[in-house]
Amino acid sequence: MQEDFHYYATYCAAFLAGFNHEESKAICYSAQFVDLCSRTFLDGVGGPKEAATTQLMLEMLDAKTDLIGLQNITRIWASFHFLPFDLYNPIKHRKKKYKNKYRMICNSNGALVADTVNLAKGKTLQAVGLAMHVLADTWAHKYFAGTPTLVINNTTDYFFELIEKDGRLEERKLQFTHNPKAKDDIDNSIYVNTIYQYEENTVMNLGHGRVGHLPDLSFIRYKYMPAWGNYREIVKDNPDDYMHAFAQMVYAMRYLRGLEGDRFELNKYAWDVIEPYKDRLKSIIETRRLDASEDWKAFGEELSGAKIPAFDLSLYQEEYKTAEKENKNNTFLGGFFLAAIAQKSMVTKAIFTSKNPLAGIALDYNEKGLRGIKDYLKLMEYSGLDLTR
Amino acid sequence: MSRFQKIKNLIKGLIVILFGLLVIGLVYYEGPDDGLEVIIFILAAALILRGMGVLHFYSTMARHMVGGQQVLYVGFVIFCFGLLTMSIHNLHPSFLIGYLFVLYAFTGGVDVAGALSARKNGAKHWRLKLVFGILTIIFGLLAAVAGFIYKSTGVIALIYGVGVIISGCAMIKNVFTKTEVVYIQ
Repeated sequence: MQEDFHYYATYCAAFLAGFNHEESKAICYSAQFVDLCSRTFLDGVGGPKEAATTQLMLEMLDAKTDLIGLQNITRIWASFHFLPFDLYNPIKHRKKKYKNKYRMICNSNGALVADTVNLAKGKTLQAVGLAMHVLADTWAHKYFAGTPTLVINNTTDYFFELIEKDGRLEERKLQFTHNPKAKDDIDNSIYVNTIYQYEENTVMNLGHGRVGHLPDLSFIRYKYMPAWGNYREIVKDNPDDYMHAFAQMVYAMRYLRGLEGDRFELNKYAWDVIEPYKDRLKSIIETRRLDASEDWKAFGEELSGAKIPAFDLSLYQEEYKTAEKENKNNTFLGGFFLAAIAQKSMVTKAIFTSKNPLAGIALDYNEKGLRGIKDYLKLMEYSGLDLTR
Repeated sequence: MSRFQKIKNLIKGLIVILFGLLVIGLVYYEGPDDGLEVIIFILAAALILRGMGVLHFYSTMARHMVGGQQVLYVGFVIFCFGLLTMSIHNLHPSFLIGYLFVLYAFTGGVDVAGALSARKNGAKHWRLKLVFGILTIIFGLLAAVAGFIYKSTGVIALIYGVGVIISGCAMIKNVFTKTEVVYIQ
């Protein structure tokens, strides 16, 4: 997903869930910020490197794909953009190495989605926004893994776009170009993707790189054969997925506000809340274009009657940079960084506990002594735990 | 980096430096032709090992993948190319010149692009990377100039040897550099 959904659509969902304009702005800012909080950004503002929620393209080129490098990449991409669906999938007749990769495949309504939402319960608006980013991406990025892997994320030439014409879906052969400067040509179904690399762990095989931006476009429907699918065809219906993502975000945020009971339930959606706007939402989601920001923005402003400012990366930087060391965690960015570390910690621990080494080792403070104490103290503080006990 | 990884990388770095010194030593004491033969041997051995690695990858992982046969073919081609290179006694220098130039230009280009991007995004540490990137490109140009203009196989072998030694030193430096590993609970 991109700015149109993570920023403007998240604003709309937050407002429909009952947050006011200012709160919705903070939530959607944080949701979009997940795509921009790189180590380079953190280096610039002097933030903690472990709070990185994304990697810039050139950081990726620079990233080593040895074990440590792979774990660093996986911690970021699996925690925030490709949440694993089933870390204990009982796939048979495969080597452990293959199973580890297979179990990283992202999908919606996995147990970790509930853990992600619950982690934000009672926390800051930044934590809510971050959780909404992760939740929404489980719909857009389903069937891809947040770790470099050819055997999972690769695709074949078998690719067809399904275009609605006179109430029927027509097939059109979809083509890819590898020129990173080229733009997606939606009129002729020519899209940009990463080049085929036969090496398993190259960053070119991370996430949905091999199908380019297709998962980020809300209007598109296509069918293809994923590398992991054993020659079974998969139909990806983005409009349906995006509608579900929106309805689930509204439900999740209502839950976080205490309006939906005391347990977050998977496969539950706020269809009743969005019912009056369903045609409008359908129209925004299904219109063919590369960026739906304008329509989402207009919808959000109609809902709240207030202006939604454009996303500004520098908005909270000065506040963080100029804050005293002991007050940094109380700034907007500080709150986001804590939420990011907590999310990364939770997902890394889940992956590690499943005996999968791809995200690295999650150390238990009580067993391993002082290693990791810096992060541990931050998380203790974030969780409101008493350090003296 | 774990202790095992550190020891492994240290040994790897020392072996690489040894190869580099061997190339330079042969150029000085036995003449450039012997140096070139060592380079050919290294290239061929690397290709054979790489081919075997790809074939192993196919047998354990890629055979379960849709379109995985492509990996099998790639593995065979690299392996056979390695055997072919091993059997050649008088490799044309232009092959090595091209190899060195592409290698250094690409590595340097990535470093320069990364440094400029880091600078654009407000990062503090980008100058050293930029300097290393530019130096690497200059090194690649020197190899090309020596090869294509002066047609000096001795200088090519020397540049290759120095490049190998620098790679080995970088490996060893990484062993002793504090790796930024994030420990999270």
